[in-house]
Amino acid sequence: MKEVSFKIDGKTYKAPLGENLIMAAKRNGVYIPTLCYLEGHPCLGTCRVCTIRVNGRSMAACTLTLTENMQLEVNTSELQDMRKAIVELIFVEGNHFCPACEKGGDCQLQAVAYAMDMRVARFHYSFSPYRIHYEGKNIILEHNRCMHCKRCTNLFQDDQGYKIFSFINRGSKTRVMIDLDREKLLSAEKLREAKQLCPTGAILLQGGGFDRAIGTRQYDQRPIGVIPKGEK
Amino acid sequence: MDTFLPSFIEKLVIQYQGDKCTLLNMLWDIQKHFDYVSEEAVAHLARNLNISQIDLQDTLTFYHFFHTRPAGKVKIYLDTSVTAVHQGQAQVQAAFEKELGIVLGEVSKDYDIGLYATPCIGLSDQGPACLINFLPFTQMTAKRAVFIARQLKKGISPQKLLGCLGRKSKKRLRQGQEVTNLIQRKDFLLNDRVAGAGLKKAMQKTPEDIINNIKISGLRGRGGAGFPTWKKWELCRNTESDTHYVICNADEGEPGTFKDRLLLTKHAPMLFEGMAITGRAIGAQEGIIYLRAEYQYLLPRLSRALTIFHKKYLFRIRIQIGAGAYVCGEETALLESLEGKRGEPRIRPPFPVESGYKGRPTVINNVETFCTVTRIMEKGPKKFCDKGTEQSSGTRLFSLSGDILKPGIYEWPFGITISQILTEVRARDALALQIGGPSGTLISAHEKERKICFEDLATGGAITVFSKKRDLLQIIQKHMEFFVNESCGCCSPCRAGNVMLLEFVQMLKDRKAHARNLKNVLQWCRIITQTSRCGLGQTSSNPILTALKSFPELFHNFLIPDPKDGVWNFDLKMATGKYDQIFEKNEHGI
Ligand SMILES: Cc1cc2nc3c(=O)[nH]c(=O)nc-3n(C[C@H](O)[C@H](O)[C@H](O)COP(=O)(O)O)c2cc1C
Ligand code: SF4
Ligand code: SF4
Ligand code: FES
Repeated sequence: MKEVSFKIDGKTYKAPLGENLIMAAKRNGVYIPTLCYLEGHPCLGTCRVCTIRVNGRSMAACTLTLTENMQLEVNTSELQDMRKAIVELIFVEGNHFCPACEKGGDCQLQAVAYAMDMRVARFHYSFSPYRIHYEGKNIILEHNRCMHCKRCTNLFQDDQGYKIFSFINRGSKTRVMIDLDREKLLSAEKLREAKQLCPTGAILLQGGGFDRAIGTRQYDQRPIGVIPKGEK
Repeated sequence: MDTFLPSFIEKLVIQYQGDKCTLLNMLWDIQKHFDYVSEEAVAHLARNLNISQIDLQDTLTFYHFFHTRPAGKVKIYLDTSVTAVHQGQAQVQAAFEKELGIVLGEVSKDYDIGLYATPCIGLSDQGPACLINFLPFTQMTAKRAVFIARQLKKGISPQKLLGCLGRKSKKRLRQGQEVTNLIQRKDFLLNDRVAGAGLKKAMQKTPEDIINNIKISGLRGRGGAGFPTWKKWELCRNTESDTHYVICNADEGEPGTFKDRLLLTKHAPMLFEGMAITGRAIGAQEGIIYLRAEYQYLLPRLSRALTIFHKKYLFRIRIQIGAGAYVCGEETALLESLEGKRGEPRIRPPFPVESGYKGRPTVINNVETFCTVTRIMEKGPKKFCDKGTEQSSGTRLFSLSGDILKPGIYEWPFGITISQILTEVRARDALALQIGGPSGTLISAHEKERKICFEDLATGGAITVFSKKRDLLQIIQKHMEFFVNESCGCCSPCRAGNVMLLEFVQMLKDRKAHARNLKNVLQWCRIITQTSRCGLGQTSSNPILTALKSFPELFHNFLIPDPKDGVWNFDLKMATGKYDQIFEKNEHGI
């Protein structure tokens, strides 16, 4: 693939033409925070945590591909703050009690919040009364922790190609729901896939929460990315 | 009845050839026969379509006109938009509630009648209005509501009640007529038309010539965004494909807009011609009209007009009915809905001109845009761009409602000033104008020299006038509620952020907001505007932002000053500085 040059915050970099902007930045050592985006899958563009400026316009980086001479702004203090605000918004919309969460340390939302140095949310907590959905045979849906990224609804199917997860309702009432009939039949492997697909602790499996000790998990070992400090 | 359900659904799926894109139609058919879409219906339909039940719920639960619980044989939808409220919607609602013994959102078990709220139904010039089994009832009064409710309770069909007594306006209508199409001013678009002339002239031109004519005319889309029409067409034409599509956006969801209703009622042939002209320009043989569910009473009329059109011309048009979702007016959400899915806006690029309906290059234009195209072809582009301003050529339709003596539809050239408008519509004691609906601009009636055009006040055609009697904060609150309810919910800033903005307005109204809250909210507005995925989230802060510009005192009078001491003066950096130092040291020490 042809290499093209482009700019991030004034510095010139090179990456293959048509590459996803997240990956193009990553290969050049620039971390753009992401939540819904999953490498190698169609972009979802739902969380907006990857907002950057492209030729002056703010856009979600994961939804764009590289063209020659693109001018990107990533780490201006304004953009950093904007992205942080969205993460805070996601936190206050749900109820995230990280110390008691099965996914703590493996959770991307938590890891990104750490990377952004988030301490408190500027928004007040909504303390929305979400229900935990235990009706499935294998899957527990912890609605308190769902960030509505749509990974499970768009990137997951059972072995026969049927959708297992969907959104129901709309707006602030949007919830993820599972197909109870088909969820029963999922293989252990598929179930693990579903759990791992979820960036937060919203998809859990019955009977297996704290299988690995907190403190030894993925992002406990290594932060998700490094955001340059100083300008803040 | 349910024993009949399995075979009904089996037949339905055969009728629609098992095509998932027609899901909205199937769900409508089920609801029309069984009054709601039961779990059992979902199970049968999913089995017949060979998809999972949850996949069906995805679409079903998105649209507010689909009911998943018993919803009544008769369904009354009250327009609860701001304008309707000003026109006395509360009294109408109270009358219905009392007579039926239920509150809004409930079903009367005794009579099998449901009463629901719905945003603007495109009848703001003759409200308060409601839809009863999707038939329009306008100029409602409490007396009329009581009368109608009593008749419905006796089992009389809504159809028979059209035009019944008790209307607010004393104006006489034809028997059985409810909706008036009051045209207050005609110009280029609405002046006497020679049927078929526009299309005929276009057929004698090459596609390039047609596009060039539209380019000369300077026509910009009438749906709100104002994208140059010729450019959209050219981009679409230049995308190679076996099939191209022409789609008409007849979703008219912006509260206060009703001009497309007029065109669809009175000038359907002009619309069809415009779509066929577009088809010739971009190389499409097929068109689809996406008609908002609130306008389905126009369907019989439109179908008749379409049959006549199809006898004369080869261009094929079909009509798809929506199911209640403002966001489906956004062009890519509209495409999703046309394909039988949730109305979630797509990620762009690719744009519809490259990959639209069923992945094919597609032009989507507003009803009025197509109609204007027909007239431009008929009379030539020069006559069109004679009027208007530099960047906004021609005339366009405006939907005028609110506290004015002459509501209805006006065709004015772009560049018309607020003062001209207020005089012509005979505004009473005007305080403010909402230009372009909730997503547009709220301005003060004192801003007399401001102009309606893309250079100054852009609009999708709605202008609502508010008199000094009105409570602007209530208006802002209603508009924010609208966005909270209509957000598709797929991107976080709009889904969660608008809830925060609405809470702020409520706090402000209750005199509980502090000066610092306003400062924060302005920052939040900016974040939501800049990071949201589609035009809904990108404009949903406008009720607050534009009101603050034109009526700063409105906010400042309601705010409580910040107390001197308190946690909001808490300096996080200072408080955690020591910790940060130690932490950083340790980090590097590892
Ligand atoms: C939330 C939202 C709602 C919209 N609703 C409508 C609508 O009801 N009718 C319409 O013509 N355009 C609507 N639009 C604009 C369309 O996305 C699109 O720009 C338009 O249909 C293009 O046609 P035009 O170029 O002829 O204006 C809406 C846009 C947004 C973001
Ligand atoms: S359940 Fe998990 S994967 Fe699914 S939308 Fe919620 S956060 Fe995303
Ligand atoms: S801005 Fe709002 S309506 Fe638009 S995609 Fe995001 S959530 Fe949906
Ligand atoms: S990572 Fe780009 S929108 Fe979520």
